[in-house]
Amino acid sequence: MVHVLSIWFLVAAFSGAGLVNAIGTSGTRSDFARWGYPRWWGIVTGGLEISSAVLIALPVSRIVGVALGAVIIAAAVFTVLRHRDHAHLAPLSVFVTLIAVAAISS
Amino acid sequence: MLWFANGAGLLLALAIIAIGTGYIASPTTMMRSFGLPLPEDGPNVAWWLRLKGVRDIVAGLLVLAFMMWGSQREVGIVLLIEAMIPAGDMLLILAAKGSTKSAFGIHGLTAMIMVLVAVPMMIGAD
Repeated sequence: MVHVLSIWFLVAAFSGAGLVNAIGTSGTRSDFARWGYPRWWGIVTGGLEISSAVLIALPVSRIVGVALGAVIIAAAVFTVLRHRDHAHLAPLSVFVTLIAVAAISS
Repeated sequence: MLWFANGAGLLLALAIIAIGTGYIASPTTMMRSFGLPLPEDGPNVAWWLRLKGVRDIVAGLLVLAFMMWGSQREVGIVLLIEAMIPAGDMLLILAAKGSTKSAFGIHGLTAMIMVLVAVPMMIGAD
């Protein structure tokens, strides 16, 4: 049961984060600018996160989706650690935990 | 019902892991919403607050471990025991004349949700 729950929580979390990044609120745009990324980087990140959510939702591509999600989150953790923007680590820990639970419980 | 309880249990575990990570990453910012007056300023205060973060993460991981490898009854028991943490926090904040709003609105509510999730897990255990 925990595996199925973690999968659907991941789908919801990546969809939500992807939408926020793709729409590009002023907060997320300033975050990306502070981290040295171009203005359109938020749309790329959001698109990748939504793609990851769709891939995870479909059983046939679930492993690819989780792997893509893990790469996105690893890049995000690396970025916030590099810029010492530690406040963003709290939400990222949810993604890391969910990916770990989904992988371990599969 | 068990699906809902399990989903809520997973959410609780993820939330406490996120809170714990927040305490490690930016301890004084997180402490402001706890409900107790901030500790006296000093170079070591942040490190003491980070200890809470580590314990919060472990509390969340314990629930996750039982969800993955334990029975429903065990998950319920762990949640019921861990509900004593927010209940204790609430009582300590009230005793220290901290923020009543935080005591009841954050810690009391968390303890109540944990008990409400734990009980159906224990009753409907496999």
